Order: sequence, then C-alpha cells, then structure tokens
Amino acid sequence: MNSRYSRQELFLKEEHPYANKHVLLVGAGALGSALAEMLVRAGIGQLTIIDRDYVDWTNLQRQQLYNEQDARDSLPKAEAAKKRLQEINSDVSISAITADAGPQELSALMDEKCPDLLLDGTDNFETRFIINDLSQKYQVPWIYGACVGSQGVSCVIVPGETPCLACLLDVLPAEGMTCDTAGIIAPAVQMTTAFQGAEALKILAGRWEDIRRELVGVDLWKNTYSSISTVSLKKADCPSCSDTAVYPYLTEENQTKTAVLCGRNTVQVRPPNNRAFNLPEIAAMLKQWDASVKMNGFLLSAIVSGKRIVLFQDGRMLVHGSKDPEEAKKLYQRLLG
Amino acid sequence: MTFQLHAITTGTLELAQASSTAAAIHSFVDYIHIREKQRSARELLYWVEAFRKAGVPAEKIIVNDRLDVALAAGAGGVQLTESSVPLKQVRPFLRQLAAGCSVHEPAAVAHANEERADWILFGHIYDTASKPGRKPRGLETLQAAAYASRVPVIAIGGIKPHHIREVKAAGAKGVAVMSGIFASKDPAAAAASYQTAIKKEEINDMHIVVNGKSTPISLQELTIEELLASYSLQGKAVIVEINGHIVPKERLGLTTIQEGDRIEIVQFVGGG
Repeated sequence: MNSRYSRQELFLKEEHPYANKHVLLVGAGALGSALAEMLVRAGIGQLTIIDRDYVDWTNLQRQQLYNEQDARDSLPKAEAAKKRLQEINSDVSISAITADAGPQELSALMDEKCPDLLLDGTDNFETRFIINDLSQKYQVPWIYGACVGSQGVSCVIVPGETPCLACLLDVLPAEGMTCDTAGIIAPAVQMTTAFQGAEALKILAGRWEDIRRELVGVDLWKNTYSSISTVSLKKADCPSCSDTAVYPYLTEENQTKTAVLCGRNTVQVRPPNNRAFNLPEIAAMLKQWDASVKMNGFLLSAIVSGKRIVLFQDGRMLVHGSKDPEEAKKLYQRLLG
Repeated sequence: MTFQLHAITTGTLELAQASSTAAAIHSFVDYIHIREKQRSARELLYWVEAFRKAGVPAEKIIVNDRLDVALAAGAGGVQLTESSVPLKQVRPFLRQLAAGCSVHEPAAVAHANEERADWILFGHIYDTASKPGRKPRGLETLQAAAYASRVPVIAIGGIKPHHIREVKAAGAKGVAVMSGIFASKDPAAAAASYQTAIKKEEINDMHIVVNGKSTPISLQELTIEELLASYSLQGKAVIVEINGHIVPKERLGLTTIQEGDRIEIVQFVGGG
C-alpha cells in the first residue's frame, strides 16, 4: 500500500474522500496552525486561510507552522503558513489572505470559495459570532475551538441540526483569561485541535452519524474531562439560527474598529472604509519621526511614541505594547489621517 | 453505614447509676454493652431489665458473654470474647440476637469473618487503664485487622474523640468506649462529644464527581453557584450539567448538590 493516503483510507474504509473538499480556516495562530497541518496532511483539495497578524517570537512556543526565520522576517501568518504547508503537501491548493476577518471579508470569501466547512482558529468571541452567523446564513457547518492555560473546549455546530453558538452563549462573554494573562501550553492546543480535526474529517467524509454531539472540555494539567450534550439547548427564538434569524453579528454596528489581540498586548485598528496603503510612501514619511522603520513585502514596522506599530497594505495597524483601543485609534489618526 | 459508637459499662458502678447513665446516653450511641464480669447471671438479667425500664431500646443492649441472659431478658445482642462459648456453637441458639466477637490479634479476624459475626471489637489501641501492664496494639495492627475484615471492626482501648479520624483512616468502622463515657463526670456530654467527632468525619466523606474526578466536599447544602465560585468560575461563561441534566443559568444558585452527584462543567474559553 503505497498511496499517500492509504493509512487514512484503511481507517475510513473509503478511497480518499477529501480530494475535492474546501475548508475555510479563520485564524492561523495556535489552533489554526495545528488544524491547517492536520487537514493538509489529510489531503483536502483546497484550504483558504485568513489571518490578520504576523509571526512573533512568542508564537514559536506553540504555533507549529512557524520557525525562527519567519519571526525575524515578520512574515504575515497566512503567508508563512502557506509556505510551510506547501512543503508538506504540494497537491493542496492553498489561498493565504492577510486581512481582518470581518463580516464583509468573510461573506465575500463564502461567496467566492463556497467552502464545505468553516474552522475556528480564532482567538476572540467577536469573530466567532461572525463565523456563527455566516455558518447559519450559508448553511455550512463550523467547529468551535478555544484554548487557554492547560484547557481547551470544542463543539461542532451544524446548521439545522445542532444549537448554534448564540443558543449556547446568550451574550458575548466578557474578556476572560487570555494567553497574555493565563498563559498556555502547547499540548492544550494539540488536544483542542485533535477534537476539532477529528470532527472535521468526519464532516468532510460525510460521516454525519459519527459527529460528536457534545460540548467537550478537557484540562490536561488538572486531569479532567467533561462533556455535555447540547441537544436540548437549541433556542426556538435564536437571532442567529431560528426561523426568524436576523444574523446580528453580520451588521456593521456590531463591528468594533479596534480589537485587542489575544496573547499579544496589542491593539488592532481598522480603517473606517477600505483603504490601500502605499507602504513605501508611508515608510518615507515615518522616517522623519523615527529611524527604525522596517519593511518586507507585506508590512511595515516602526516605533512611534515609544510604541512599536505595524502597518499592513490593507490599511490596518497593529499597536504593540498597548491594550488601550482609544489610545491606538488616536495614534492611527495622528499618523494616517 | 455510619460509623458506630459502642459504650461499655465499667464494672465498677452500681445499677442505679449505670441505668441512669444508660438512659442519658442511649440516643448518642449505637450500642450499650453490659460488661460486668463479677456479677451473676441473675444480676445481669436485672441490669438488662433496669436499662429497658429506664428507656434504653432493647436492640441497643448488648450482654457480654452471657447468651442465656441476653435471650431471657430480650436484649439486642451478645458480645462473645475469647473466653466465651465460640460463635459457631452459639449460632443455633441466637434467634434474633446480634453477635459481636472480641479479638486481640489480626489473625483472629479471619475466623470471626468466617463465623459471620456482626462486628469485631479489636483492641486495645491506645493506652488505657482497663488492661494495666499491656502494651497498646496501635493503629498499625488495627489497620491489619480492618484490612482483612468484611465484618466491621470496632476499635477499643483508650479511644478519645480526637482519635476518631485516625482510627477511621486505619479502616475501623466504629469505636467502643468504656471509661471515656461511663466513668465520665458527664456521660451524656462525653457521648455527645464522640458523636460530634464522628459527624465531623462523615461530612468529609461527602463526595461528588466533577468532570470525571471524585471530589470531596466539606459543606452540606452547597449550591452549584457556590461550587462554581470554589473553582473561580462565578460569573464566567459556563454550561453546567448535573446527573445528565443541564442547569439553566437562573437556577445555578437554587440547585443544591447531594452526595454522589455527577457534575459536568464546561467553560467557554476564548483563546486560540
């Protein structure tokens, strides 16, 4: 048995069912890296990765696709991920998108790519609720996953069958533990994505009867495992998945223009409308303020007012060393108008 | 089964005082043993009758050694020592009586098990005035005796309320007390203090299963909300299931936890 996927086929008792499947992965951080590698090795046909961030030294402890050179080059994660993933499996068609995963961007991707599955590699609930609404609107399953410390949670959401995230969580949870405050160990990432990845392989192979119908939580340090059946939790009047759904998280009012990035002590500022920046021009302008301006093909970094900033071509700015969205917004406006 | 408390007469009291003591303490103890080795069979009969008249329930009265007295007086049981007629030979005549055995060696415990004694009095564990000149057997031998026994092993010999925890930890299923209660200036208070110590250990026995892990809890009437607070999860985004049923958020503070409950808590964390 020499075919690349023979061991998988033996298990599935089916010849390679993944070749024509397309997965949209939102987030290429800890969860996203592990999921991407799992699915690329499994030989899915297409993978689209969207991530707004770039590789940082502190990512290397748990984000398995990235290496030291990526961090030195400040490569956007989606790009670095694609580079590594193609080395693993050159047959998979991979699209890397460096942008914020807001409702417009994701809706456009859903229209363009028509994925079979949406995967949660995000680090914040705001984006998860957007994914949740899109999943319902486009009737595509998605798999929630999250981790912090030594624990991880995951849950499969199938439109029309299971409760959605808004049924389970009636309000957006307040900022809880983040990788910044509570830290995280790599095994927690591997464990969470093992659950997500297995469910992904079931869904993509059409094994609906095998899908886990529980919300699962595991703590690898405290040695606990919990699973709760969500069957009874579907809400008849849910604004995201009921017959009267309005998809509240896809509307513009619910979007914030600033976001604090998980585990990074960093604020992201998005422009009010789509902007395209000419990075070399801006670099030249910034050099008057500060000498340590650096550029690669995708982004520009500089130190302004004691804070390191990173500018992307699509007009987004990351402000490092800050958790204050107002302060970051002011800096953005000061620099770029 | 709850931890047993046996009280044993001292052999030095007159009947009037012994029976009024028995009346005062019986609600705090499981059994009262009439152990009066110097007294005749007829006297022992009067003792049982006097205890009963004073209000001690018959089933709590245990006569040491004298099966004939226990049967005739309608006592609750007999305590057979190594000088008594063996349990095997007494069994055909027991009728409804309970039968306890007294042993001093772990090796004798097996035999008492074979004979299906109702309990085994094992000692003496600590320094006691009752057997002058003998070395206390200690907790190790108690543990050896209890380990080998399906029949409950009741520890005896100098036991004070503060010994209950370690005696229980060694595997004993109860304690028997002689001078600690019957020779006390206030026997009812003394019996109550043993009972308090026993109850305290019982509370530490409460176990629930949380996320698959057996967890001792030390407070009765604990609500799920209080349990969540003990894990620093109050106010956090969680889903809680108890014995297979999801607890709605508004009921978390109203649902109390019982011994043996199986609880699942999943917290919605947000990182990735």
